Amino acid sequence: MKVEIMIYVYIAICVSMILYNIIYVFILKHRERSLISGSKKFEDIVNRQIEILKNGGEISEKHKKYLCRVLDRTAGITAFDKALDNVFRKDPEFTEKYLLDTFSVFEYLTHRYINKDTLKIAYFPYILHKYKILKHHESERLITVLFDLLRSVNVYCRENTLKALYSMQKPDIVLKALKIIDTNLTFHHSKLICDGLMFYNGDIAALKNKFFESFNDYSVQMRVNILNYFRFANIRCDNEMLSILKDEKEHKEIHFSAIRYFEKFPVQEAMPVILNLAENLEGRTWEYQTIATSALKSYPGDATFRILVKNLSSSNWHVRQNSAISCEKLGYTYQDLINVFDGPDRYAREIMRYRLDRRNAESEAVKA
Amino acid sequence: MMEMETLKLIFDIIGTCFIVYLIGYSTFLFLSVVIGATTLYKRKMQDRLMNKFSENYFVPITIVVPAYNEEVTVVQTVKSLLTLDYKLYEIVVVDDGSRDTTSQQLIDAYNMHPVRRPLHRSIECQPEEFIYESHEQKVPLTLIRKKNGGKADALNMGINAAQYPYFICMDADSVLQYDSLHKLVVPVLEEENVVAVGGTVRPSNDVELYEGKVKKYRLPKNILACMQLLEYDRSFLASRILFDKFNGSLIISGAFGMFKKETVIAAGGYDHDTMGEDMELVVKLHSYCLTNKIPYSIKYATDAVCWTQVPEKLGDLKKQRKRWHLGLFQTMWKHRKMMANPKYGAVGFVSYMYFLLYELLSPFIEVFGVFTMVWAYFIDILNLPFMLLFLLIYASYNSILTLTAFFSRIQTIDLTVKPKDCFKAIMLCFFEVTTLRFIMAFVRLTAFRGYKKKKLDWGRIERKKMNI
Repeated sequence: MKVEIMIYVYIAICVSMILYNIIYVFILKHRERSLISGSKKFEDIVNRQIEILKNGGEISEKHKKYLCRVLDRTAGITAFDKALDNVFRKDPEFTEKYLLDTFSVFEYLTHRYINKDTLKIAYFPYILHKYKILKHHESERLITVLFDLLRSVNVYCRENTLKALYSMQKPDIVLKALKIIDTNLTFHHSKLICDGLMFYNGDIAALKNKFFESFNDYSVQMRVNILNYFRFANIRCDNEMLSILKDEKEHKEIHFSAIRYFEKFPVQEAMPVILNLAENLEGRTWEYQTIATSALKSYPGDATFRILVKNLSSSNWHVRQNSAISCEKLGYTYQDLINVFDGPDRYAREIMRYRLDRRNAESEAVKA
Repeated sequence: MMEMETLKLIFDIIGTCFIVYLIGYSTFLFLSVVIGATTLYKRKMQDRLMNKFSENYFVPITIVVPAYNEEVTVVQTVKSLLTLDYKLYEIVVVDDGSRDTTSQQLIDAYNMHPVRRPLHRSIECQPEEFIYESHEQKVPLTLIRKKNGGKADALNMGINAAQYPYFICMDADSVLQYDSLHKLVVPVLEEENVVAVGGTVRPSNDVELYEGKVKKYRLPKNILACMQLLEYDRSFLASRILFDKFNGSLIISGAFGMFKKETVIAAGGYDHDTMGEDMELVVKLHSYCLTNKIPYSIKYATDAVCWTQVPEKLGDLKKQRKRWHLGLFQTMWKHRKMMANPKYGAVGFVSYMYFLLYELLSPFIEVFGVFTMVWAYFIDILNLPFMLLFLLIYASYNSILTLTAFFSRIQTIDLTVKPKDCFKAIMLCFFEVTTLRFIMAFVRLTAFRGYKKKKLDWGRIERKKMNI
């Protein structure tokens, strides 16, 4: 009898699985169809409003109310996005004007979306970022809500919100947003911050100055992320980086970022420090010597040559490798390095020969 | 009379054990398919609502391609890797002492030149015979020819040569989908301490791919390959997603997985003595991180796809499954301390026990079950109509769950299948559950015969040129 019950349960599960499959196919099909028809309908509606704007009119309150009602639903906002995408491509100028005039709708929606499921919330800042809705309008209420969204557990919600805030192009807002991310206990990958900051198109000098004014307010990781962003975005901050490099109390990760900065942007004042870091460990970790040896490729000179040759015989594989790469990049030849090739250190010979052979092969490939 | 009663009692006990076993498996399958399908649908919803990285972030990756006698496919494989939509990666092909022209094919096709490159040997492996490089391609391409030492040894050599912090291991007969690297790095960006990410492996037989994109999707014409496709969908949808929910994945397919180099080196790299080096590495990572109290997670990227050829001949399939089963046994045995050990949490209690009972011991249990039924029938204590009905319902149940997995996968990765193929899947899933499964149970049962000889064997199956 018990086994029979089990068989009935199995049958019920089988039937429910079939139903699950069928229903889901229908839901997907229906959703696709309604998205297409909904976006077409929206396109017509938005186009009509844009026509009114072109004729010198204004967006009606009725239309704004309609937007408030429809965009509150996921199906509505996705259809609106699809429609706006098409409209924007055809007429970017008036679409921007349309969005400016309907700003109050987004302000209203912010408070509606904040109470939704995090999946749905993430879509809202995405729209704000995509159409740069915050670029010309500043709303205290809206920004406060966006700052709250930065504390979301959903990484996409935080990421879309950051982009929306970057699009405002205000250094204070950007730094405050980064401060919130920094103090938040939820993990946010450093790559997302460093590369994400590239979307900031505002006043870079102001951002840089304000950041260095409050440099110590950020965690080590966040400081490294922002310094790396400056390096990737080619933002010069030689004096600030130099004082970081010379400050012996500074955290090693921040030092590494500064050394890499001076590898990319060689500055003569940094050279003695880098030479010293490459030559002497003085109780520091091996990473210092590795990174400084790599940076020496940007500082040609006798002292550099001497240290690089010495480091080719380092007991650390990474130091040896970086030393060989720096020698290669500085254009040293077999003749320059004859003492290495005639010397007793097999490891130094092998790594150096490989780098020089590789340089030759690369230049031949370029010629070919 | 007394003997008959004893026999009946024995059969009753066996029957009860089987029912408990079947209930356990059915519940697992049900939960995993439902959770798997729900996760895929949620992922689709996430994409629709822009819960994804709208821009590309590049985590540097080394792709390690171990190759042994792969002259037919290796050039095409590298060609497909060079078309990947990703900026920051390098390709390292490790020729494990092939007896054919694998290395020469690559050297000629990509105009590679010999270099005397010293390697940083963080993990022990057989010495290299020569190294070639090419810098004329979109990304650096390296070929290392080494003394034969098996797949694990070739992978360890690849790790030693890798210049980037993450490496991908893949098979030389597989093709990565154009966006697979982007998808594979997503878990690394989403979560902290990700040490490994597994991708989804899909059979590529009769699928037309162009520059890593699916041009024409259809089910394989070969029935055996088609049944394996259903099996892959069930396995990748079901168990992997479920185990992923509690960081309990014990397998990342050797055909496509990404690992954090630093952690793999610290754990000791791939094991030379195991045939299932892919599974062994994942179990080892669990063991290493849990023992040393290192926070970690092993993730599964459902939408990072690798296309691979599955065997079309029963002989090849038998060889492959024997190898997999032996690898499973060796891994389970090597890490037996994890079994139901509270120190290893859910990995020891749930994942390990599942693999022990429903993967490693399943062929023994299933074949024993068949013999018991036959025996019970001959001594006339089997209610045959009831048993047949029970088996029929059980098979239908499994088939429906397999189909659910198949359709969930199709619907959520935007592939379209012709009605003819749907019909084929419906027909074959029942056959897969009732026939192929039992054939494979017998095959896996015989996996242990002469296994010492096969230790460093690459497990060859017949290769065909791919439609890429």
